[in-house]
Amino acid sequence: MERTVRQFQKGQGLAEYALLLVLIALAAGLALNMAGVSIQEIYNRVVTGLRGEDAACSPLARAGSEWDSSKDKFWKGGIAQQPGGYKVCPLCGGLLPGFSDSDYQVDLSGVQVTNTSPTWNGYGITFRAENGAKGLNGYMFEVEKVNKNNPTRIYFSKWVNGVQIKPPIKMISLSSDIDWNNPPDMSVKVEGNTFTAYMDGQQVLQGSDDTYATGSAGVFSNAGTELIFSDFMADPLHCEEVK
Amino acid sequence: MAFEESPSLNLYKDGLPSRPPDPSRKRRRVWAVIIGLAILSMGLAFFNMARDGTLAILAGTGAATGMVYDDQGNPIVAEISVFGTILSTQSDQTGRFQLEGIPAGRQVVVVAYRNIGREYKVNVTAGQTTDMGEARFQADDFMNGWSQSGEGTP
Repeated sequence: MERTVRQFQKGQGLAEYALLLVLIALAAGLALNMAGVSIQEIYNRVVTGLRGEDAACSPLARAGSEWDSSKDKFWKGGIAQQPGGYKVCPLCGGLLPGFSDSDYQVDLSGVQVTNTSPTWNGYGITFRAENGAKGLNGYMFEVEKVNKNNPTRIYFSKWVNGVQIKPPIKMISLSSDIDWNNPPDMSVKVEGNTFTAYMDGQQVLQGSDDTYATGSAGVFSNAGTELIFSDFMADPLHCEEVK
Repeated sequence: MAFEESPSLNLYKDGLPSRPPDPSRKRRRVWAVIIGLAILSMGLAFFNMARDGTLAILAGTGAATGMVYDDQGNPIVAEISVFGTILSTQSDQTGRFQLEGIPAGRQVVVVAYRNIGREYKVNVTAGQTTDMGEARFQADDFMNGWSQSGEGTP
């Protein structure tokens, strides 16, 4: 009889420890959610680390054969892979599929453009974005030339349900036009509520907004431009090489 | 129990068996931690629900009304939605709109026309209609490649 009581107490103790573990996991999940950290992001980094890669310095996501294309009333199509890179038709765009993170740096490189019309030339980077049921939600950094009579401008904008919110988060006109025959590579660093844009490695614009905390990244082109690029990736912000 | 298996005095010839160690003290500590974690989890869940707007639904809903014009003062048939919800409606031919069922509290109403949107912060009170006044688009709003795509015009 004493043995039976001990077995019962042992079983009861196990149930209590199981409950304890469940509550610890629940509290940790809720705390991470409150801090804006994605559990999937942590999982991905652990998996990357287990594969033997340097988790801190590997790209979080990189251009591949698949893109999450913008499909709504206004975008004309997505991004097509071609030998040596990718092609974005006028008023087309896409996001890195299966990727969502809060802080990162996105790099668009090997850029070439063909301006298919004399107006609405431009291209840019989408970040902290997702294709929702009603259209794109997220942010964009764009270089845009309306026509030959207007200066080229660069700006951060916010998108809600597929519409661009006015006024932009931050916009400036460039004192000298970019070389459209040799257009600049682009980077955007996304940290907290602050976004910093770079063209050919030089900081050109900084803005801030609190609306979207996480999301994917992508590339798009304006209505009068066909864009070709060789690579696009999202890197972690703080990468320390292990020696 | 068979009679032969009944306890006999022989079992206690060396005195009463010592009491097994009291597991209740350890158990009380475990339960204190369990209750603490449960309270912490509830607090965190409450904070998360407050932040993502779930609690606002419990606070009730209200309505918002307003008018939409272009820079010439002409009424616009625009799409009106509430950020972070699936609520949306369109303004009528006179530019007037009314959107019901908005969770009470501070909300962002997006008025969209020709792929361009303007945001308005509105304080919605449960059971009441908040007048947002006029939403007015400027010609400069459409100096943009995106708004040249006519397919998005409501």
